[in-house]
Amino acid sequence: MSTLELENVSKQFGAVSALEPLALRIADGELVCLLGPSGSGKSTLLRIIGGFEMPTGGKVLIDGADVARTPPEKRPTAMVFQSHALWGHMTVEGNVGFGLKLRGLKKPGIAAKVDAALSLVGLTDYGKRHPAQLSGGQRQRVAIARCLVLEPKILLMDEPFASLDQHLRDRLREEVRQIQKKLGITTVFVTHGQDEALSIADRIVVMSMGRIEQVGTPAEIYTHPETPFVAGFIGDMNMMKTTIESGAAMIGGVRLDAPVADGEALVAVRPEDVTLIPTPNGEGARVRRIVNYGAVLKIEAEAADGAVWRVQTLKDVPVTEGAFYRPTVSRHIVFRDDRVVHRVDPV
Amino acid sequence: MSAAAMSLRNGWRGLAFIAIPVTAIAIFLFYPAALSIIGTLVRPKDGGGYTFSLQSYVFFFTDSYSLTNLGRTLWTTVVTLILLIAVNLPIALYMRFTKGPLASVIQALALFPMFVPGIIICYALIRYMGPNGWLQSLLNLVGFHHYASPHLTPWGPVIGLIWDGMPLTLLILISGLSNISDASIEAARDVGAGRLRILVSIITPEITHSLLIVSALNFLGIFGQALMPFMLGPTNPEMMGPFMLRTFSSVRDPLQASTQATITFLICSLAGIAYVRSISRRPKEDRT
Amino acid sequence: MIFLSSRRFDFFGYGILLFLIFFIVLPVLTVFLWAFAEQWFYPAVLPTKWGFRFWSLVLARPDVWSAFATSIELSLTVTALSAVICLPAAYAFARMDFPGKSAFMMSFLMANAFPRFALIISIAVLFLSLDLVGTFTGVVIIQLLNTLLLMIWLPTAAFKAVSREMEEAARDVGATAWQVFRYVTLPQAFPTIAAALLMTFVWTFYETEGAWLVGAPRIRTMPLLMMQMINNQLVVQYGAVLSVMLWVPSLVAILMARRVIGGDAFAKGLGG
Repeated sequence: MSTLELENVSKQFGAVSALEPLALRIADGELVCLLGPSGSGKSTLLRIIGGFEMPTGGKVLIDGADVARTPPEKRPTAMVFQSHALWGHMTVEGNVGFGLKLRGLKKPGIAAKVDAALSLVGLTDYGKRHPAQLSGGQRQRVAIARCLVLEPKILLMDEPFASLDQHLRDRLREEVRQIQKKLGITTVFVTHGQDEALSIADRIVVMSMGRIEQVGTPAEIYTHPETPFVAGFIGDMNMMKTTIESGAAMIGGVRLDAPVADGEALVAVRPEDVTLIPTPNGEGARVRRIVNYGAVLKIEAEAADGAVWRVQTLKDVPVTEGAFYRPTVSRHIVFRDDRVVHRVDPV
Repeated sequence: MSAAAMSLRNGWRGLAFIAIPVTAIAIFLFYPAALSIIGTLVRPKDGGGYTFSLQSYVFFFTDSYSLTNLGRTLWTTVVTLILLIAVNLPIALYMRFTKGPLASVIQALALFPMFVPGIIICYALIRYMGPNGWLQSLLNLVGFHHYASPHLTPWGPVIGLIWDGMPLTLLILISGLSNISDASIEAARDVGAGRLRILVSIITPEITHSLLIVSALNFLGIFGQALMPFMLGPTNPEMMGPFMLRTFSSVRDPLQASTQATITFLICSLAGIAYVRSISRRPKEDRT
Repeated sequence: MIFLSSRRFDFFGYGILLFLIFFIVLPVLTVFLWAFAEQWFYPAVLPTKWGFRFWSLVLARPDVWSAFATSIELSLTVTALSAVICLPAAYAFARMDFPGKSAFMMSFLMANAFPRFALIISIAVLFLSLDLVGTFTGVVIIQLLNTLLLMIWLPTAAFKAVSREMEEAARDVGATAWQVFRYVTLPQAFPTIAAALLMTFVWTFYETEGAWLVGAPRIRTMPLLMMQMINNQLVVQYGAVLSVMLWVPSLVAILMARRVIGGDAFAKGLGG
């Protein structure tokens, strides 16, 4: 039942600015992903929320109380680390119960809570084992139980599944989402994987070079990126430099609406928003390459002006390598000065 | 508290934590070393005051006994060093490139002296290779009757010092050899390099650093030894260690002992500088 | 076997083995034979009469017991002092940032770059003016200096090896800085620290040269007593019995310590 607000939070490491002053508001029970390439400041931000870094300036408000200068042990936050960071000299029970022991709880009370937390992550019978006897996925579950047992107001996860294989990662991500919904715990989840962010988050915060690029639901982030960085970072995108003349841009044989002043601009089009219509007599774009991904085909088509369209179609659409097609675009975005100046969505 | 103030406070705490050992090193190592060097140069004058004097050095370098002792020490050091590397390099090579029970046994045996205190080594060697020792009995058994014991000859300390220096030399050489990847040697064999070629062109350059460290450490170790030469070596001439010991304890001449120590410092400073330079050049990561 | 890949090198290996047997095994074996020999006349290959007579003789000597007590007291004092002084410094080197950190670390390594006995002589000259020669304190100080390097460098490596995230995770669940150290860092580093303590104890117990120069004749430690027994050659077996009696337990202890530390750590620490 907790909210998290960041006001003007910034971080300098010496002369290097790791985080520009930024603001963010996370609602009660929300799961927010911080998404960005390495060096974007997402982990620094998470560590500031957890208390492992002091912000150079700004406030970190949990339920309205500023904790920016509070050490991690006094914060109502709990963090799941990338390396799981289990204490090897303690059993699973010892790991999960350590925080409770520090809080002075009696043994029966600790045991009950530890059991509940372990059953929540599906490790009921593993209490007596040592971390070294567990698999990677089990260790990360213990790390999650270790956090949940303290009933934190905010759960922080720092690329928790990065060291696991794809299959296990997908499963654990789903489990974490279920647990998070069941407990209604406000969660901040750092990842550099866009699939992970898109599939798990209520909202995504896209970061780059210490700045927040965009905050939005996965659908918003995917379909309506607000900056060229977000457009290029999430999913595949045809990003094309062009010159706008009298309210339109001509790229790769396609005329795209752009009712803005004449001049340079950047046009972004998703491959799945491009359709190829066969032309009889060598007009339009020539298909250079087709790669079969099973459910979809990824196609590269070179237009007469040299521009290359990346196109994605369902597997049953007939396309031939070397043949000519006329591309049509159903949705596009026009950027100028790193901002959206025009957008066309399909009707 | 700002981040800067915090790191400043941490800095002071760190300095406080290391203060005592650093002070101990300064007071009980660097200070006495400096003091004995200065003490040999600056002498109290009759009737107060101090005067600069090289007299103790003049004595040392005109005293034939002192000079013979210094020569004996240098001889022992060089001979031991050469033998140490000549013995340990093949063993290290063997251990680096061979696996199996025989290699494990060799490793265990070669590192064994590490667990034997110096005084017990001395005792064991005296009983073993001394006159009428076990080695002589064994040689008699196979019909060899011309055994001349190295005990109390210049070779006595050499043998003891090789015993003593073997594990460390071997460990450092093996550690150096472990930097050479199997792949780089396989690649060399692939292009047709013979064993000697591989040894000269691939292995030797990789372990020059280790050889340097081994030589410097052993030089210092041998020069700074008193026990082995005292127990196993002859008394005339003797090595610097027992010479200093006798000058200090029996002759009760701390000034001359300091002079001998200073001369030892000076000669060893070459090895010392080589050692410090080569470890300070290593990447920071593994210098713990 | 890639480099030495022929049967010739098996012979090479057996050659090394033979050398090591003659050079290392047989001398040590000699000590054991003497310890259990009641009579051994040259040129007999084995003792002419076996027995434990000299064990009871050694154990009945008061000077053995007093030297033993001195050595134990000395080793305990030095180990305890060394731990108190060095462990915080090791922690600082591993975990804190302070000005001049690498220079200070170098100054410890530089202690290696001096010829040991010449240093001991210069310290003894200083102690002469401080009236520390022939005192327990003097011997403690000189032994302590011997152990500083080991007791800083091994625990520093141990503290460094504890993952930061593990410590942060402990902070996260509510541990104060001290509790993190007490419940996470120390237990994680403990095996190596214990090994370092053990080695400090054993090394101090057997250190001969410093104790000899600064302690003798008033402070007589076990190695000094053994040296005297060896030099006087009164009864050969005394030295042998003492060696076996004292050294076997320490060998077991150090072998245990080595399991934790590993040979590479020794070599790395000295710059290999």
